[in-house]
Amino acid sequence: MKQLLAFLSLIVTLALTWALDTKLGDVPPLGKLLSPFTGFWRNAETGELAPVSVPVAGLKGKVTVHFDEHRIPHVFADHNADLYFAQGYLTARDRLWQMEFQTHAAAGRLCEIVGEKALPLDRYQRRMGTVYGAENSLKGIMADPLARQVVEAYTAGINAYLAQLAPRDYPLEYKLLDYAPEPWTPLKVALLSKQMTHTLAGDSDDRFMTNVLNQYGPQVVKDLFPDYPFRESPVVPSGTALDFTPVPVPPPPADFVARMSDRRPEKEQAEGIGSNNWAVGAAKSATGYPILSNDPHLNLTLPSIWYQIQLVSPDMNVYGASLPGAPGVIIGFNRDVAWGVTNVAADVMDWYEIKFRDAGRDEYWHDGKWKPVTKRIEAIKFRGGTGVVDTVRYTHHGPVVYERGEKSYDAQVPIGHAMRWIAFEQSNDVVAFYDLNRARNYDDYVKALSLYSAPAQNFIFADNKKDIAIWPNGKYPLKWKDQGKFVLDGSNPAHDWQGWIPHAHNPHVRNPERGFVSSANQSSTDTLYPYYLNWKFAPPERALRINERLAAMTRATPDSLRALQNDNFSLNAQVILPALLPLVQTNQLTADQRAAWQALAGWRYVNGADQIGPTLFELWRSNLNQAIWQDEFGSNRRAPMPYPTRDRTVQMILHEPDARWFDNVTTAGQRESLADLVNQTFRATADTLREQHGPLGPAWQWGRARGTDIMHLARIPALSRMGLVTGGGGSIVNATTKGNGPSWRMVVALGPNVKAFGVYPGGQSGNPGSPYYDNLVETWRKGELNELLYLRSKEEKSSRIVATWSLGK
Amino acid sequence: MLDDQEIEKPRFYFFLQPLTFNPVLILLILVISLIAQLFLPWWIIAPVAFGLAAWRASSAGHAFGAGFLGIGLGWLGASLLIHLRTGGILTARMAELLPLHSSAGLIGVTVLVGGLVGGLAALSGYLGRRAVRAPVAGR
Repeated sequence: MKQLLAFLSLIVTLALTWALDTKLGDVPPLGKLLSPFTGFWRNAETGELAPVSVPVAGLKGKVTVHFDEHRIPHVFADHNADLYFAQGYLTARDRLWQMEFQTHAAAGRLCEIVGEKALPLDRYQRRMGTVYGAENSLKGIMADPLARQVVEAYTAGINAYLAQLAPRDYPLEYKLLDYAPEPWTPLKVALLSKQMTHTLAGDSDDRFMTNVLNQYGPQVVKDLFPDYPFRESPVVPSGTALDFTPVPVPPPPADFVARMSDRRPEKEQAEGIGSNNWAVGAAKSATGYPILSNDPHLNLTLPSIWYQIQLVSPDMNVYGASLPGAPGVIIGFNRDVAWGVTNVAADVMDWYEIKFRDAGRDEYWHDGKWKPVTKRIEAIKFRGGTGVVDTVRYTHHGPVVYERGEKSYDAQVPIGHAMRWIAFEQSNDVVAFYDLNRARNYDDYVKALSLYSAPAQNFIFADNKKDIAIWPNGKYPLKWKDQGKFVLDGSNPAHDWQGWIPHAHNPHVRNPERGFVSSANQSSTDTLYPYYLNWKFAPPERALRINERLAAMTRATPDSLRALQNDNFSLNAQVILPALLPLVQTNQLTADQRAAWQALAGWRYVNGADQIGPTLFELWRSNLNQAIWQDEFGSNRRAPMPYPTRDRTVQMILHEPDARWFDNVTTAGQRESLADLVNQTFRATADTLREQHGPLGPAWQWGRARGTDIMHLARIPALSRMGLVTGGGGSIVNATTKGNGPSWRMVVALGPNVKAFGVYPGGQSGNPGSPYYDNLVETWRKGELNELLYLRSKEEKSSRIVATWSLGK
Repeated sequence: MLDDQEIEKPRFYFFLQPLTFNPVLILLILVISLIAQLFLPWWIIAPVAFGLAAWRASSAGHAFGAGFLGIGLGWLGASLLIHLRTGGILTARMAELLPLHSSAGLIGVTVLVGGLVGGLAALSGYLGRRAVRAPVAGR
């Protein structure tokens, strides 16, 4: 009996201890996690930094790091290799989990962390050739001695930090998900760049547009999906003379319409991944030198997408926003120049219909011959050791992402088609940023840009020689007009990508007459540009508003540019509401609906957080859009189609009130007019808001009814900032939406003593247990900027330096 | 036979008897587990409580109580210290995540988990010792 009792007690103890040490389903190992000695408690920090000397193996000499009051590191090294080593070390110290998780996601390795449930996503990443593309990029990096040195030093720095890290000091998310970091590799740098390319240049309408062509024919495509908006203010101003002789563009082949495809888009293309940048020239500026501004819009996440850093070596002193996982600074400034980026959205992803020889699918028809596919084996491992093996067939175009009979993870992917994508090219983006970080003038900047390939960006530029410029820049395939607007014929060599637009022919403008340069993801050029980049760019409202305000601006200061970043004016509402409101028959409204109508009629088109107008307008606009297009473009489940652009819809409402598209084709025997749709949708909008927020009152305010959530990267609400009261909107210069917005706001005043300001919605630390995880969110929310501490030398004294570290042996 | 009868009693009701404390054992478990946890995985608390209770505990109640308090007090002290020193930023986030809805609740659960493992391990230590050799008279 004694033995049995002892045995039972021991079994219970062991079972409990094991259970508390093991992840059970989604429940983290609670004993390990709750222990104040090894668990999450260890991640709680005060953010205090003691001045220390940190022994790190692998440095050539000593590296000095000054931390300012936001814990932004200012790094001084005698060798460039030491500098990038230190960047890797410090970034890992603050952001290890984030940088590794992002590259695991890119590489299709989430199943290793969370188990089989991530298989559709992992398989999608593999099928899209992300790893294949990263391996190609890596070849380019390793073949270039400079790129190789930078990436290897950065990698060694991350791994030096990792080597010092005991399991009890792992970042919180490793403890919650119960896994361990692995050594960093140069491939991960390439993977990160592919992930960015996927975010910014991974959209294609080819499949949906092919469906429109099949359903309605070329006339309707031309009418509703034009290649240029009816209102526009392109990045390169109209009338800018070409400074090159165009090369011949391949002729368009005899027409081809691909077979209809068979899936339906699950989501509307989200507006909000976009960005603004501009620079005013010396003549417009109060300082007598150019001032530059940039705010890249992305899905807002915590830890912050960007990591601020100052990097100083004998040949460079650069400050700016870096991406955790990539060496150098992506958006920033040095003593002489400043630059920033917005997305171009060139069409660099095309789909080719593939004809296989037989069910074995080992050969495909191209150029009058059967050609062999190459098979790539993708091994996807699951947490716990099991896994699956996936075979992807590659044609010379690229991978056949999903084959007949398979289910696609992403509605834009046509089944049975091969993908040609810029992300598969070898590239030297590492050296492009290396050179840009050291640029001293316009020529250096252009030379750096010539090395950059993807994702194509509007690189804005200003320097203290008073040059301003913008290049919508990237590696662009040389296409016939509208090549890739629809699905292409994978057997016809005339449909292949045939060479590249020479870099010097990329759109660009330097010191234009109007005294400023800008971009907001709109059309890169007017219709006179000799090459085809894309048929559709972001809607023009932000660009129109920015250019209107910059044109009127005189004696600009950094604060006037900051104010423009926060401009909440809704050009869209100003254009369309005066046409819509009079159509509402107010005598047929209920009292609540009438109150809503009056609120909207009194609104001055400003999407401020305290306004009720935008809450009404945005929902109404969306409902009206649905009412106009859903019957014709949203009801064919077998062949999903995109809705015509907002620009085209506005044009139709204003100028073509009798268009056939206003009729709801599902109501037999009656013909709806624009006024009918306007009345139906207005009443529905008012009723919906009444249901959601009660009678018209403060709960209807834009900042409360919509607000902004900054989600943690693993979508854990407790580690996120939810329900921030914000203004702005999708087509507004302040492009803050529910989950999207300015991920970094920067203003740089050039001159003999460069002065810069910036903020992002987060903080330097990636640790949710640090006060520096989200300490900048409120500054960002209010639209304010912090002055950035730009140290001219290691010896410079500043009261903002809170600690100094010495890294080295 | 007599021995067996004497110790049959606690087998059935040791968990009902009022807890009496053995301060020396509590202190031993507290101090040794604290030192061990600085270097070793969290579950080292189990072997520490097991071993010390096997060595020093004089009854099942003593063993469980000393294991629970020795580990629980260590975890209470450490978590409370961290909570207060860091302004409770992470305590609040983790309380919401788990979800426990209050920092005090999270500290309570922390103490409970550590205490339970410590208590059960100590109890097993005592019962194990008793199973392999007769109790020393007077203990």
